[in-house]
Amino acid sequence: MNVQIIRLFLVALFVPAFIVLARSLGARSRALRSLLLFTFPALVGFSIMFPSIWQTFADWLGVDRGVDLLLYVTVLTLVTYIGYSFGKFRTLEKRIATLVQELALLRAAQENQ
Amino acid sequence: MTIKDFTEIAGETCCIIPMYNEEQVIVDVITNLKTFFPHVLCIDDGSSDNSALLAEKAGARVLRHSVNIGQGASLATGFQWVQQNETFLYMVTFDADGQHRPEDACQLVTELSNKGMDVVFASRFFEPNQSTIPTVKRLLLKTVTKITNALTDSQLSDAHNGLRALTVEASRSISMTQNGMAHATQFVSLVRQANLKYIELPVTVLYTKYSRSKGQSLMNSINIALDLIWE
Repeated sequence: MNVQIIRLFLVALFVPAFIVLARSLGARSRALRSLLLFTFPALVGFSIMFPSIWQTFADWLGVDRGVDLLLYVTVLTLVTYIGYSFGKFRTLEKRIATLVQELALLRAAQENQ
Repeated sequence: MTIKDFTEIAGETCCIIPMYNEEQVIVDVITNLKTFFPHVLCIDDGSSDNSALLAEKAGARVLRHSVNIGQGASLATGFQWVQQNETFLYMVTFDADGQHRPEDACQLVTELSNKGMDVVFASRFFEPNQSTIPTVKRLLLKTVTKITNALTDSQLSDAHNGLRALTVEASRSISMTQNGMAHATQFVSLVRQANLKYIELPVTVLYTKYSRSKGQSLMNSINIALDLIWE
């Protein structure tokens, strides 16, 4: 039962974390993402050197196996970055659109003169 | 209120056509429109064919987007241009693929003016109409309309019709940010938010082989839904 509650807590924590990281383009979330990006290779190296550490974390969090926890963290990181890239791409699209629209109107105004 | 004939307001109306690779039909569309509307504005949305050149030769004023950014953004550019031009009191949005009838556009503007409305929507589902809508398209449009009505608290019968008329004054309260096809749902939402007065009028949509090939697909409706969610 406790394990189920911990799992639900993890999912409940991951969803808003994903939304905040993926959608926000502010300086704070950008710094967080950069930290995550640099932490991830470090974690990979650490996992290779000390594979049993994941089992220890898994036991703390109520996840059955260390490898499962590693999978969850990997998927979360990947999905967050995909979401972030999508958000960033959309913001850039909107900025380009604004530029293209202004250019079209400026050209039209020039033609009128 | 004095009842006006369309010929009295034609000069105060700008017909806006968002256009992307429409060289096959654009000359006919503009030529037909020009018999009713002296002012036709085409927004060439980064076409790779000769659409812009042909539109200009057919007598339209053409604004050019350097790259393709979407139909919603094209309409927004058109709105801004018309707002900057003091000649106009009314505007009509009109699809470039030839599926709308110019006489329906005239009817929309006339009703807009005579009934003191802010926006007039065109509906292919509003009786009486002579549109022969393909079954899959009908189902898709009905679903999209139901979703739009639910999201915007409106009761339209056709939310994604490219033919609509509005006053220039009303257009100032409609600031569209959806660059793609989701602009149609956003347009309805902004009309509702701004408490604008609107009505719906029946029109006939002509489904040619060409207009069907240019129309929205089922897959594109997924893009529209995602655009609205992400917004």
